[in-house]
Amino acid sequence: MQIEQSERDGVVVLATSGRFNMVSAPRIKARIDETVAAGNARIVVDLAGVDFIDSSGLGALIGGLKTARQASGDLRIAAAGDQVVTVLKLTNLDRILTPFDTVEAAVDGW
Amino acid sequence: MPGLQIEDEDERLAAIRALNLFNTAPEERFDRVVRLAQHIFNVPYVAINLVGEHEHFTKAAAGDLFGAPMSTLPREESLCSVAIESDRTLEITDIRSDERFTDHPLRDNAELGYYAGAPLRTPGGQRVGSLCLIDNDSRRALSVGEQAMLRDLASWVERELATGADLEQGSEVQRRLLPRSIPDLPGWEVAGRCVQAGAVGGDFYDWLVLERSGNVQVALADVMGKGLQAALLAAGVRAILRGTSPHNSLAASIRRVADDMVGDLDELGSFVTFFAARFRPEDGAVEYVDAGHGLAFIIGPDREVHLESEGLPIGALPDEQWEIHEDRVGPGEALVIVSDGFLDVHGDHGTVMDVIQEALGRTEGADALAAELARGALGKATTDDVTVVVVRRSAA
Repeated sequence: MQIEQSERDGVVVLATSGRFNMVSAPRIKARIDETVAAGNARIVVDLAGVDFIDSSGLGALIGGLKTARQASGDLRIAAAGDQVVTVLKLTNLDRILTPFDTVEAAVDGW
Repeated sequence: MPGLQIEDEDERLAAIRALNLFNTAPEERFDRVVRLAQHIFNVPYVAINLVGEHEHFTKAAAGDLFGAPMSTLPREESLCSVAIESDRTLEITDIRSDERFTDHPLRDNAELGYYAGAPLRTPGGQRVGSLCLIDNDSRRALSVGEQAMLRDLASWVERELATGADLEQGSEVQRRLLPRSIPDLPGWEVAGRCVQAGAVGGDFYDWLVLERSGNVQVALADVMGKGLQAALLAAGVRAILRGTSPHNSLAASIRRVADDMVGDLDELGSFVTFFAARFRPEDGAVEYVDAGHGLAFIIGPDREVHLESEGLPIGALPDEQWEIHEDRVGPGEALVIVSDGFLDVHGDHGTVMDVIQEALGRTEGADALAAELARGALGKATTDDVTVVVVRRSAA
């Protein structure tokens, strides 16, 4: 799994791809923590390239959300695929991790 | 042969039994070590032999010179049985000229010239077997570096033996934490299945009769992730739920689980999806609470209900409130809760409901339904745990 980092209007965008599972989740969570520690607490995770997420992946996103909020920021997700949206809805986690259709929509008006 | 008295043989045999590896099938975690050793030392045969009371058992073997995997050899013919008498590697460079083995039955075996066996120890220090190299002809002694490498490979096997034993024990403990006694409720049956993807996992189910009200509580929880961390957290959730449920309402019980687990879940970056229901056997009235689990259904000949809710998983946000919902299990209907392993297999909850409906028609009783559902999920490729709880009310 690759993590590509970019910045857009003062928001850090982390783009991931492949399977977001117990193998890759710790790396993404660590990257979110580093980003927040570096002073950027507004983060969008771009899930366009993610075809599968499991509970460890969800755990990384929730953990990242908590970290960002503790630093008075937030974490949003963008471009989630069908499987990701299904799992978010099932667990009701879409209530706190609102899926935005695109990175632009997630960054817009922040 | 001098110095062959083994002290504490009983303890050694107990350690062997605790491994639970005698007469078990080959495993890749051991096979890869013997393959590697065969390559490194360029010998025709390498084996991992476990030395029991009367015979040694070949757990892994590379090459067909001697015993195949799962074969046994009487101890009096086993050189590994000799190798476990010391912590040091036993090396026999030429068995036919070695005075220590003048009377050994294998001395005249034309296929055996050279033997090296590194003893395999448990964490408790019991020598339970040996990683052995065999060559047809006599051979020069291993260099110091080769000796160290053989010892390294033996340590690798020892680590596999230890981990396997711990996990096997953990797996057994986890099985015992599932409810075994079936509540005696005329007109009702309760059953469950839990098959962890690994030796241990984060799924569990439970049920208990609440003595004060006579109502019955069933629950299914799925701790994020896999393996030991998930299993330990699951045991915590189960214990808190068991402790609080007989004395508290369903709402107060989930609150208690969430409040008591929040520190551990935060610390480990984990969360738990959880569903619990209480039903009244007299009329089938059900109250339930769902913390982000989302896979509970009431299915009967006349209706299929997905018991939805808005609740987040336990541990997702510290101040989450969970609402209690109500429904009813009518005659001929079943309350079925499954883990998300079923979603991996069947795609969406609509398909899961269809699968349950079909299984309901094909089976009688709760146990048959639970077994059928678990079998259907396990038949497909899933890397997740597969857990199901069924409360089934008879038609009449």
